[in-house]
Amino acid sequence: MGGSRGTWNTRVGFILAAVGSAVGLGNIVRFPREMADQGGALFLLVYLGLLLLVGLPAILAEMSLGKLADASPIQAFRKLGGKHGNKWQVIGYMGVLAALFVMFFYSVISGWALRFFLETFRDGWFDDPTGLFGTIAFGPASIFFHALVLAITVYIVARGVSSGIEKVTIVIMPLLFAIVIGIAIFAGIKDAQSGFAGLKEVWQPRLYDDEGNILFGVNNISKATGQVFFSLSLGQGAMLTYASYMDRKQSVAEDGSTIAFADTGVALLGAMMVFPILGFTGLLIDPVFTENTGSFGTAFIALPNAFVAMGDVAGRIVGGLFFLGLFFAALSSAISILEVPVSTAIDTLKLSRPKAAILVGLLTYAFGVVAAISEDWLALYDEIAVNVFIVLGAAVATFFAGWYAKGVAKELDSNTRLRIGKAAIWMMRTVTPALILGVFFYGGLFNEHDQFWGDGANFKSLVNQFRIVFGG
Amino acid sequence: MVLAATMEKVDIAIGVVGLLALVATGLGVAFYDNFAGVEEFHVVATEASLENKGPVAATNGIEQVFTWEAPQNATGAAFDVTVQVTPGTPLDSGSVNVVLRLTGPGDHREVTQTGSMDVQDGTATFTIDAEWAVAPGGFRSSDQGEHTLVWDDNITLVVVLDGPGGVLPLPGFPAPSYQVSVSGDAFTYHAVRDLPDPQATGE
Repeated sequence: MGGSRGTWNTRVGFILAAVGSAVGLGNIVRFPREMADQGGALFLLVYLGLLLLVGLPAILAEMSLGKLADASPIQAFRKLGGKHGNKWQVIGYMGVLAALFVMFFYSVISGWALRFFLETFRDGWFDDPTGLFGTIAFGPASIFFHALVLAITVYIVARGVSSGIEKVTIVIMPLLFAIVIGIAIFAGIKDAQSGFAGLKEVWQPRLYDDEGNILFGVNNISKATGQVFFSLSLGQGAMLTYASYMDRKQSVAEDGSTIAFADTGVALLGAMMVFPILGFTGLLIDPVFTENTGSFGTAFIALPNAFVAMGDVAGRIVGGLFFLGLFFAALSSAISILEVPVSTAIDTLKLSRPKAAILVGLLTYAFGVVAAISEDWLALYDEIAVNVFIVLGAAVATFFAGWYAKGVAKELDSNTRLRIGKAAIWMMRTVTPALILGVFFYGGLFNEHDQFWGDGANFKSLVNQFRIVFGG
Repeated sequence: MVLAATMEKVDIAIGVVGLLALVATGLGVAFYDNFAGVEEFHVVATEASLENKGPVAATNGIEQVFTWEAPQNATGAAFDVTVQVTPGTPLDSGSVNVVLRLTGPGDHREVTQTGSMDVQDGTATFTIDAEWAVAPGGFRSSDQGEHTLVWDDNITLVVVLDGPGGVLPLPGFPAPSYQVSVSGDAFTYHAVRDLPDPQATGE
C-alpha cells in the first residue's frame, strides 16, 4: 500500500505540497494581468465558473486515479485500465513526458527567480531594472542557475515524500503566503493613491476593452479556460502522483476542492499584490510592460522598475521578498514536476529513490542546457509539453476517469459528507474534456500566439516554434 | 573487476547521463554564441538631418511650436533657431528676449535656453541642443533589432519671443513683427556587426 511508496505525514502537508505544485508564476503574475486585461471582477466570475466546469473535475479525476491505483502515472493507467491496461498506459507515458519536457525549461525559469533574488544583495535589478533580465536570461550564467535549481530540487525529492517534499513545502508555502499578503498590505499603506489605482485597474468590472470589443466572446472564454487549466498543473501527472501518497482515509473530494480553491485564492492575492506595486510607476497603462513582454516582462522588467520607484530602502526590501516568494512558488512546482518521473522510475525500474532522483535530475539538466542558452529552445520545450502532452493527456485522462476507470465516483464520495461523485463523473464524461479540447482547437485556429502559456493550447504555435528552431 | 561487479545497471546509467550532462555543459558554454546566434556589434555615431521649418510669423508672447518625428536610434538633437525682424517693418530700438524649450522623446527631457536679440541687428541665430538617451558603446545580441531605439513621441521645440512695442501707438506705425525659422540635426547611432579580425584569424 501507500506506506511502501511513501506517504504524507499530515493532511496539511499534502494540501500545502499540492497547492505548491499548482501555485507558480501563472498565479502570481499572469492571473493578475489576465484579470486586468479581460474584464476585472467580471473575469473573476467567468474564471470561477470555468474552475467548476474544467478545473475541479479535472483535478478530481487525476487525484482519484492516483489514490485508487496507489501508483505513479504509467502504472496507474495500466492498473485501472483492466484488460486494456497496456493501451491506457499511453496516457501515463504522456504525463511523464509532459513533466520531463516542462522540467527541461521550468528549472531555467526558476533559476531566473533565484538569480533576481540574489541580485537584490548587489543591486543588480535596482541599478538596471529594465536591462538586467535581457542580460542574464540566457547564457552560461543561466546554465549555472538551471543546475543550481535542479540540484536543490533533486536533493529535496531524493529525501522522500514526507522527509523531503512535505518538510520543505510545509515551510516555504506559508512563507510564500506571508510574503504575498505582506507586500499587498505594504503597497497599499505606503502609497494609498497608487495602491488604489492599481486595485481599480485589476478589479473594476469591464464589459468592453479599450477598443470597444466585447470582452466575453469565445476568444476570451478560451483564454480563461486555458488559465484555469494550466494554473492547476493538470496533465503532467503531478496531482495523480501526489494523490497516490494520500492516506486511505483522506477525502479526494474535500482535498481536491481545497487545492483548487486555494490555488485561485493565491492568484487573487497575486492580483492584490502586483497591481498596487505597478501603480507606483504608472506602468499599468504602458503596453510595453503589460502586454508585449508577457508574464516574464511583468515579473522581471516591469516589477523591478516599480520596486525602484518605491524608494531605496522599501524598494530593495519589497523587491527582494517578492523574488524570494517567486522562487518559492517556482521551487514548490518544480519539486512536484520532478517527482512524477522519479516516482515512475521507482515504480517501474525498481530504483532506490536517491538514485532515481539523481538519474532524472541529470537527464533533465542535460536536456535543459539548450533552454538555458536559447529562448527558441525554451519555447519549443514549452510548446511540446503543452500542445502535445499536457492538453491531450489531461483531456483523455479525464475522459478515462469518467467512462472507464472503476470506482472513481465511489472514491469521491468516500470519507466525506460531500456527495459530488455523480456530478463529477458526469462532468468528466462530457463538459470537461470537451472544453479542454475545444480550447485546444479554437486556440490553434483563432488565437494569436502569446508565448509561454499565453493562450493555453495552440497547435499552430507549436508548428511555428518548430520552424523557428529548425529553420523549416 | 570488483568495482564492475558491485556496480548496478542504474549506476552505469547515471554515469552515462552524467557524462551527457558534462558534454552538454561544455558545448553550451563553449558554443553559446554560435548556438544562440549571438554576435558582437559596435556602435558608430551618425547624424540625421531634420526637416527645415519656417520662416513662420511670430507674435510677441505667443508660443511657436515646431515638431519632428524622432528618427530611430536618435539620442539627441541640436537646432539653429533664426529670429529676424519681418522684412518691411521699421527697425526699432531695444531687444527681443527669446526663450527656447526643447523636449526630446522617451524620458521627455526638457532643455530651456534664453537669449536676446538687438532689434537694430535685424536678425540673430540661437542654438539649442538636448540629449535624451545614451548610445551603447557596443553590445552582444542575437538580433540587431532588439537594440533599436524606436520613439513614439516627437521632438518638440517651442519658441517664445518677447520684443518691444511700436514707436508710436498709431496705425501708420505698426509694432515690429518677427519671423522664426529652424534647422537642425538629430544625433543617431548605427550598430555595425563586428567582423573577425583578419590578423587574428590569419586570413
